Amino acid sequence: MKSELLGIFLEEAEEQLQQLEQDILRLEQAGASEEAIQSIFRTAHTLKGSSAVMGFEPMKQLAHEMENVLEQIRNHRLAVTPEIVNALFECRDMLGIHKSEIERFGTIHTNADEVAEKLRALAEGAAPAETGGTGGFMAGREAEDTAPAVPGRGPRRIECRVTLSAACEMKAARMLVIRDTLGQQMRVIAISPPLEEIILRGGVDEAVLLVETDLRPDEVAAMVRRDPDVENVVLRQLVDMPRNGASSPDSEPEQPSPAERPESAPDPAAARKEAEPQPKSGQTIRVDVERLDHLMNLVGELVIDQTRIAQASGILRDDYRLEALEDLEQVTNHIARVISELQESVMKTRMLPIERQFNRFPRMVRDLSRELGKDIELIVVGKETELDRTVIEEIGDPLIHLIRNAIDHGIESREERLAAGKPARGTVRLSAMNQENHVVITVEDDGRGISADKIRASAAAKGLITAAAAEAMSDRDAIQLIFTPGFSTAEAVSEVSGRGVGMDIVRSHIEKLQGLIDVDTKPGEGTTFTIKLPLTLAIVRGLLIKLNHLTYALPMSSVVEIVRIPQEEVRSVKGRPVVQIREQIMPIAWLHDHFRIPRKKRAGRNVFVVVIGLAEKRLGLVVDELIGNQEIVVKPLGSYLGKVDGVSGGTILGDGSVALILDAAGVLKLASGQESPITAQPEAADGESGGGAWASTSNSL
Amino acid sequence: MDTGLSQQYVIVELGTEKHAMAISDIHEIIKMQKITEVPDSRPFLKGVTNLRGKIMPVISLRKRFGLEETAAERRARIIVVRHRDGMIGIIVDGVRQVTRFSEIQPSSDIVSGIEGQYFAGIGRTEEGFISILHIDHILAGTETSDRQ
Repeated sequence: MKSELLGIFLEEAEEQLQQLEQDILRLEQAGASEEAIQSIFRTAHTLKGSSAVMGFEPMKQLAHEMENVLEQIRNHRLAVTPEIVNALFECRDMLGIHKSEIERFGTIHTNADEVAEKLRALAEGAAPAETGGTGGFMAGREAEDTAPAVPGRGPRRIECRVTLSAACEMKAARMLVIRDTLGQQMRVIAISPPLEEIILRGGVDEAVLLVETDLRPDEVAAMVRRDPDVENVVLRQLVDMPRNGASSPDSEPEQPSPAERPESAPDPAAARKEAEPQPKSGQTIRVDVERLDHLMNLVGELVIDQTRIAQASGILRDDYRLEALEDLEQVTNHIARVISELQESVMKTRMLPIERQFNRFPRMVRDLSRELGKDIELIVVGKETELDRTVIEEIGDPLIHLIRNAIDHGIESREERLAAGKPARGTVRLSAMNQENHVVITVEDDGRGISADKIRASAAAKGLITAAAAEAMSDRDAIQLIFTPGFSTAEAVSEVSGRGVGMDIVRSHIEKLQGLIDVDTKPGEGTTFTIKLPLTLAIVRGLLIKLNHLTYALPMSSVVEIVRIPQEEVRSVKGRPVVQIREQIMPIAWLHDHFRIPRKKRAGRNVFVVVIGLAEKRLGLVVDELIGNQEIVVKPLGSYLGKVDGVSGGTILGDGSVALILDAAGVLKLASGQESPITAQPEAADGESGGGAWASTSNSL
Repeated sequence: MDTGLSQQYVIVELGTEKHAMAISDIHEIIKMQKITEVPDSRPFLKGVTNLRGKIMPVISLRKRFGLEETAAERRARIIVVRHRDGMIGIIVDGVRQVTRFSEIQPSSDIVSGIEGQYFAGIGRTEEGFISILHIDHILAGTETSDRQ
């Protein structure tokens, strides 16, 4: 029970920390916006409550100090200065440290007194409302304050008179439950009579709760009525948030309210809700990720079994031609449709908006650009784009790296930009969008671009390629060299990026996710990195092929085309086998050689070549048989086997056997790592098993 | 390794030899089934197979002991053992009875050298002595080739 509560606490704390970060950023950028202040206040308040309940005193203390500072800002006794923003950030980060300590050790180690003290000093140093508020922005605020209040703007306060039924047994506890239920969705400002009194009196028949919420009064009423012990609820909406000193959070609900609105009044603010999504009560549930993973696995099993049924029914039809088989076939087809819909639905439940990652970046860009003394604006587009949660988790690090690179290497210094006739402020644009079965993420900067010549020189100097080879390369190919292991052009290794382990790690990360990364750059204008990711990793379309007698699957996403080529058209260029496809010379490879499978002697005069592609690279794989394409469920091979070159996992076929899934990146690496002249290995006789080749290459004991 | 005398052992066959595996090491025993080859540097690694929807690596005990491989006979079995986070199959020629030992001696007294590490001890039954397999050492991938 305790651990379950802790899990919920940590999960919520994570969300609250993210929220705080966004809001503090908003506070810094947009000045003291009422909404940001309210939101920080609310979040800090909730965090204070939950950490107090869980017994995490230092977190409670920090959240409390944060709340105090916000309280002063809200009452205009404190202006939003960079000092305050920094202190708030510090406090948020300390809360984050505490949260991860709880996650890892179950308890808090880091002392936060200093941070708390700083906040306390700030809160105490607040000027009284009448005399304070100098500076441009305070003036602005006051001007706004004198403007007539717009009804329904911002969260409203609702007074909620709850009457318990006479049959209700534990009235004190019931009232607490109601308060907590409301507390999950909104801020409960006060309760009258006070809780202590309710408890002392052993429960009361009626109490008044003052809440602050974006929900409509009737929605609040519905929430309260859900409790079976509630006999009656009377709601009264107080006029828009009181704007002056009176808005202390502990003010009594009995405060005279200038106006009242009946509970059922039409809501002029309904439209506003769309602008800022609010948690919909009762329409979402939290589900343990493991349950979804399990569900996904079950669906995977179904997909496999369905393939087997279809296969079996096909065999039956060919052999027997019974009428009853028609029924079977119909049912099979129907099951196939249901399963594919089921698969899609389960997949969707595992999808999350990429927001979860994107939200980290505004803060990162802020901190980095300060550190480097650059003025950089981050534009984020397509936060709502959804991806499988495993993909989302994995994409964070590569994106951090790309954004750091853009800020550190891409965007020039202020002076350099002005000299080049560019605006002093650099722009980094991060975007995500759906494209068919993929999600495309781009990281774009308007910086200096990547110079192909510099890359050539640097690669040659580092011995990655010969100077002659570098000269012969096209600009586009040269720029691709940044993905080579051990490459970094940063003239000085900075704290921010550039330790020579950069882009190759990014690329291998993305390839691990079955994704592609590409770079496009224009000197002086900027650089764009484009990442293409599959929506999900669990089930993909695969092309089944045979190498000799063994079946393999190739993800369709990496298959470019399939061609049949007369045997005699296989030629050799510089000792490497190639074929000509249309006007293109295409290197080809026998994966057999790398997997120690004997090449099969072809009966016909043609060879099948499956062209696979990764970014701009193409390679033709010679395969012995094409079986067809189908949905395949990707399964790990397990830690005992570890990393197998050229193989990304396994899948279970219709007949229950396992086929290995080839990964394009690995196969390309295998093929380029070893010269495989066409005559290197004599062709083995048809049908001979791989056993001989195994024995000849392995050091037997 | 708990080689207590109360422990039960499964007797497996490998050619003319018999070996014992602690029942506590064994998850289940399945019939021989189709195994998919995987390119791997460990010669004793036969490949992977489908264990109720999960992919399980399978090793050959014959290859592990440097014996000739024979075509799988009807009696061949895959002994499924737990290894770290997953299961691993070990192919044996056949499975005999379950037994207890009246006495267990350390294996180093009798077997030494490279082979010695594969055994956890020698158990005594009415029929004679049977070597007890050390599953962890048998599964361990690299140490044998390192010692060569």
